[in-house]
Amino acid sequence: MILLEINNRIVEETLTLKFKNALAGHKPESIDITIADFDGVLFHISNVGGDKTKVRTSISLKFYKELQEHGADELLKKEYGSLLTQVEDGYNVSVLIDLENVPQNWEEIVKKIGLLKRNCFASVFEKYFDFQERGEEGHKRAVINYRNDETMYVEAKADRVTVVFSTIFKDEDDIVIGKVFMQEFKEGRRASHTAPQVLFSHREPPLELQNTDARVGENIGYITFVLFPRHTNRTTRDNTINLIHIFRDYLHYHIKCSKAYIHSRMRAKTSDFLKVLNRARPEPKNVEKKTITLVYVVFFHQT
Amino acid sequence: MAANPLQPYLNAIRRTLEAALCIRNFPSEDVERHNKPEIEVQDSTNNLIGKPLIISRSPLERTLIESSINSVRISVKIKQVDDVDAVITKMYMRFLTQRADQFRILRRKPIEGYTISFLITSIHCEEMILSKLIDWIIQFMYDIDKELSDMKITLSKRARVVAEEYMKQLL
Amino acid sequence: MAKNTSSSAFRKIDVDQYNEDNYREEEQAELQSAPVGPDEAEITALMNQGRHIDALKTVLRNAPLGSKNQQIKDNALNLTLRVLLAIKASQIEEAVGALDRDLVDVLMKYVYRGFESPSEGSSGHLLLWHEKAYVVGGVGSIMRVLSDTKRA
Repeated sequence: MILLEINNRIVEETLTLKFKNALAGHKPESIDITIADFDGVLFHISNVGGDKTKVRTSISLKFYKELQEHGADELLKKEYGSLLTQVEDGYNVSVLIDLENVPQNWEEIVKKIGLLKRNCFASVFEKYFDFQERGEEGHKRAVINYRNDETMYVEAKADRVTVVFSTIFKDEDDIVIGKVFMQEFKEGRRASHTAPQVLFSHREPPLELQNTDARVGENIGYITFVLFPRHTNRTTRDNTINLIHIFRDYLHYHIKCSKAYIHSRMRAKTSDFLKVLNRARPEPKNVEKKTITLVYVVFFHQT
Repeated sequence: MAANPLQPYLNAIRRTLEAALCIRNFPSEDVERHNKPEIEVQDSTNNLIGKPLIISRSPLERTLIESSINSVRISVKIKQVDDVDAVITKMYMRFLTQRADQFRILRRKPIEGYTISFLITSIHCEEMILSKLIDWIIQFMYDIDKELSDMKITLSKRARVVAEEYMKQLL
Repeated sequence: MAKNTSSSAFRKIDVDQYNEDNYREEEQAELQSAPVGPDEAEITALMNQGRHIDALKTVLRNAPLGSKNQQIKDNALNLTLRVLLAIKASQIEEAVGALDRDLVDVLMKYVYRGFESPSEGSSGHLLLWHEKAYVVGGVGSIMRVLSDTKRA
């Protein structure tokens, strides 16, 4: 799995199971599960008021307030319409499905709910893509603190939209590995010449973010995507949003995968080294082992 | 393996080790009933320590062999050209030294200026076959070099695939 | 109590100095006039004439191994390395073959000293020297580098 899925599979599978059970005429069972997703996002699937046929899925995003400023509410209303319900305490958005009358397009609904996180993120991109499309400049840049200490900036110009991620490398080794990856992203235009331009700067924010409160530090990296109308037009923008909003997780996921790979390889090689080293010892005496088992047997008999 | 560019370097190390690993049990002359590796004690007043020998392959790659009457210390500096090399080597060495007990001859800390150190004492020589021990050290140096460069290549390959896959989607 | 028993001065006597087995650094070689090392002009002259092997012999024969003067030793080292690196890889075998056993030992000492201060490309060349010197001198040659107090 190279690319990350943008939907939440657990949510999807749980809801699919619910619908299928309902269609098969099984008695509905109660449910109460909490699911974590990237960027500190939490899902909560539960029954409303003890009614096992009413399944509510709620999502909590720490930065939902910032998304609201960019029209998250409107977008979700458009996307989920009547599914939206009274927001659960401690969460930001809730949708409700009714197992008593399963709609024809239930599979579509499940898919939609699985994409809840993506759709929350989408609002800010949609808004700035629209600005670009209409050639509106001078709008304030959007600032989304999508994780503690990590921020995303979106800005529209007449001919482009720039998306900047700041990300923290917790481990100094990650910085080095991250740089290897970013180097390849920079050169990624080789793979497809229509791909957007990617820039990477370590320690300091890129030019357009200077004189803002963007953080500076040894373990901070800034990744800039320059999206052209090719990426922001009506037909391609969904795909662009899908990929862009998950970029940070994608990068870190693969940094961790690389480390895990190195680790597993080290483990294998080390046991190899040990095996060969142990061959340098003359044959161990097997006699000792026997006496130990004997003692054990005697002891066993006495008790 | 004959065409291996590392071979002359490893040959010189092997030969030096064969000369240096001529050690025997030797109780401490300073403390009664103690027996310690003289090379770690580094007491220059007695004459138990040989001249430390260095074998280098390039300014970045060398091996230090310090011998004494009852112990030999071998320190290897592994070639590290850039940050990526340094990170992978660091990870690897940390992994190995954490398992120093199992390796018996591995020193928990390398000598200053080197990547990894081994300490072979007369006790090791008694319980292991010396020629095989030397074989192992040479093999280790050969393998570690190969492993580290393999890992580096795989890492950049992975990075390339990851980036290309992503960019291909982003039309 | 007698007065002298309370004295503990006798405990401080270093009895080891009366031990016959005690190892003592040989008072060596100061009798001979202190070696001054090889003559740079002579070596350079030999090299310019293309007589590298003669230069090698001369530089090794005059090696100031016993000297305590670091300056002289360093000069000799630099000069020897110059000769070693000037000899082509294809000539090394012949050069080593022209040396007697004692000079091979001296050569080995300089090869190891050369490893200590690697410069670009020098190590590869010295590895070749090591290889060839080993063929003639064997392990004993390396052993003498380790143990000899007269160091290069």
